Amino acid sequence: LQKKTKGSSLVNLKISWAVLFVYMFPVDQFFAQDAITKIGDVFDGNRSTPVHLIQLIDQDSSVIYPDEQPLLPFSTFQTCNPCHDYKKISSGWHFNAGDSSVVDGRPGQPWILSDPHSGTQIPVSLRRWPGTYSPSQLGLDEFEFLSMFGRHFAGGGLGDNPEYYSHEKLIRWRVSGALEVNCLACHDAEPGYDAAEYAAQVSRQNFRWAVTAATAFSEVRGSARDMPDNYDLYWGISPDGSKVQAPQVTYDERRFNGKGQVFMDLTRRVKPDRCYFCHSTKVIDSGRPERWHFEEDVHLKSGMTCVDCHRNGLDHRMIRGYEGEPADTAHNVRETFTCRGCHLGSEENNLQASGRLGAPRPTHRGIPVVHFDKLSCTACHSGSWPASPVLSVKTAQAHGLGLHLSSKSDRALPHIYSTIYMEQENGQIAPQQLIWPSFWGEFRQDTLKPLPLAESLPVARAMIGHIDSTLSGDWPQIPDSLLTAVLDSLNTRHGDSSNIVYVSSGRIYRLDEKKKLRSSWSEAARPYTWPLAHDVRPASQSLGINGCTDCHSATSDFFFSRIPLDSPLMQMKGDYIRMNNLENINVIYAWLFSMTFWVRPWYKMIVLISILIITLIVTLYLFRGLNRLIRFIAEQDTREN
Amino acid sequence: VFRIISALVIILLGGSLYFAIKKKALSLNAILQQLDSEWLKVKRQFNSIQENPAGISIKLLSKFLFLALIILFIVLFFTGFIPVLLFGVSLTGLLLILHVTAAPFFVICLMLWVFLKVHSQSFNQDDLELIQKLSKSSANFRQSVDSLKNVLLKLFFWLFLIFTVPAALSVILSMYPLFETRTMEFLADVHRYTVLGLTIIIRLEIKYENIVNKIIVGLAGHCYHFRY
Repeated sequence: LQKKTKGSSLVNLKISWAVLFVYMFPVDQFFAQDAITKIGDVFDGNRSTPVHLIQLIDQDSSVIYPDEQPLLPFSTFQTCNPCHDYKKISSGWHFNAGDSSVVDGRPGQPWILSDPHSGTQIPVSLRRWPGTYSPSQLGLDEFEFLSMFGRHFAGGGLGDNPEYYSHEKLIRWRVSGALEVNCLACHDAEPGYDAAEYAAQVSRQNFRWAVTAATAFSEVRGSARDMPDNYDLYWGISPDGSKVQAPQVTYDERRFNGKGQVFMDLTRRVKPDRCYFCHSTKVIDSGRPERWHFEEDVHLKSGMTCVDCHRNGLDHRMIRGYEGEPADTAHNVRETFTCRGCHLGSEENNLQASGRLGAPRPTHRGIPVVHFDKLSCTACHSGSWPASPVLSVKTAQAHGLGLHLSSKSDRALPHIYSTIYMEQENGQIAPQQLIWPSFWGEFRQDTLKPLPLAESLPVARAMIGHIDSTLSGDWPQIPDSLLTAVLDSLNTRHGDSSNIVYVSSGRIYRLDEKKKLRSSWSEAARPYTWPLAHDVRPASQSLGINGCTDCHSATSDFFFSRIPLDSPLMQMKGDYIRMNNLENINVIYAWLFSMTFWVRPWYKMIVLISILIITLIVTLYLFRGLNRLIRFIAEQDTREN
Repeated sequence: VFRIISALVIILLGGSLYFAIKKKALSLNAILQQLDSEWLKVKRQFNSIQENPAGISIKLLSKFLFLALIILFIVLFFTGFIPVLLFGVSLTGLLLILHVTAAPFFVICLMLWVFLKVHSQSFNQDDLELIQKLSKSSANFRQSVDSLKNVLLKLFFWLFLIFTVPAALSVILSMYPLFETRTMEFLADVHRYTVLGLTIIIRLEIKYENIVNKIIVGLAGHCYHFRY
């Protein structure tokens, strides 16, 4: 088609459309092929990095030459698949969200849809993590979801699998193209790779162009978002003649050799910088305002990289690194990459005692063994030192850190709190991050479901959005009267009174029959939390380094820290809960136990002295007994003689 | 492993105690009455000391110390074994607080009691002669059963002390930042197994004190009767 249309001003649009439709998702035809081992997927034993001097191939399987027209972005599927099994790779953890056959594992960081103008911050996930909501529950289709969160999405999965596409958005998919697996997001070692540019392209719905735009040798202008439904990729301009710019790519010709090959600096040894783009966390701590006040993860400082532990095979099912991670093989190698696996070794897997990567074996001198049953390793070694009130953090995925126009305000939504110590399913207390969901929903028979955004946002924004505080991206301050008005308005529009609720700070707010505001705690409104593992602090900065009272004291932030009940509602301002509530530890017990540490030095001294006296008495009488025995034997001997 | 071993030991000890009581055909009421009368005696003696503190004797003091030891041992026994046996978990929570609160008092009482009683529990010339006599002929066994019982009780006393030292020392040492995890685990095991040993010794002492018909303030309040 490309060749046919090249240079021709008369294109039969009907034919073009039909052919385009067939070509729209070319990935399918390759998926149908039987799995074969690709040349790049077989390790020949050479540990050096192969040079990737390759031809770029567009979605139509045509080799890209920078002087030809029209120029298309290269397709990672078409370019990489000849040597690497794209299908297998796209089953990896970074791409498989939404695949119902995948075990979701331990809850992780969700996507967080936040909108200060409507008092909304809600955890969204394509995985079935309890406490998160699926895009469809919010009335978002996959196209809208990708447009919103694709900025930190590595492509693949619902980005390039037509099975996920809704019929209503097929035309828009055709305009934007597939968001293929972005291999370069991790493997491009070239300093000029621009992940922020990738994010910008995705937000413009330039899915097809996003990977190309991020490379150091190409440039993409224009926006698919602005294109009409009948936009023609090969025309390069919008047929309706408007002045908006159609997506267009240009390549740096100097990067192409005579064979049309481009050197791509690709590596298996992914640099931490690549991971950081999506996995950075900024701790908001007034006591440490400068960037240099913070340490980096102790592993990275020692020269390791993220992928030294978070390894994967061709299937790209990254090791997440937590204990109990679902095994993908009978011989569960994954367990050897947990904290215990590396630092304590694994008897089960018959590894050496010191574990992998020469990890030092911790001595944990004087720490009662019960701590290893009750606490995860990360409880003492990861995240920020406990503080009261707990600190808040900004994360790359939640706040768009690193994007061209990311908000620098420390109060920008969503409000994520860390470090939260919370009991996990396995009964261990582990450090977590937490958000209090706030959203407009419908409550029926103890089941809470969020209202579709298309229903709630226009109403809430119209009534709340004018409040000045939203300029910083922070919560607006919503008085009860305004909350009542919004609820009333939503109830009226919904046509079913008293079922519309506002969820915030663990409570559910609703209007009673007399339109009076009522609120109650609800399990359905509980905070969403997810475990954190980084940054790991060294032993000298771990909890307990100053002694037991790091945690076991009446003022310990580990047990008694205040966790703000984050909410835009004025009535909740300044309200909080104590950490022990999430640790599932009774406050009286925690306090009583802490008190025992006041007397513990005396206790130890008294018991030691008592034991010493008993030992002396036993020893004394032992010698006396020996003396008596010797004398007795001697007397017997005398008698017998 | 400890859970299984301790469960077996405690079931065996409990079973033997149960059958011993059953053999004596003691009813629950009789046991409770006995406990009640023992408690009244103790109260009476305590009141008399309060009225006349100068009248306290070493004998009386050792009696109170012994009673405290029994009560504290029961507290330590139940708080220590319940989480392990019933739930298979380490000792934590309120039970831990109770356990660590009772433990130092137990050790202090034991030290004082040992201080007062150790001399009377030492082996003397008669004990050695008895052992020599028994070792020569088993025919002497029946004639010397009471004396032998006394020797055995002394032996249990010393065994109790010998077991108490590692039981307490292992815990106290583990409270200092001296040992790494494996040693801490070893110390915890030392504590567990020596305490199990102590329990066995106490059961044997009950048996030879012939007090199954008087189960007091646990079981051993009657040791006092026999001995004092």
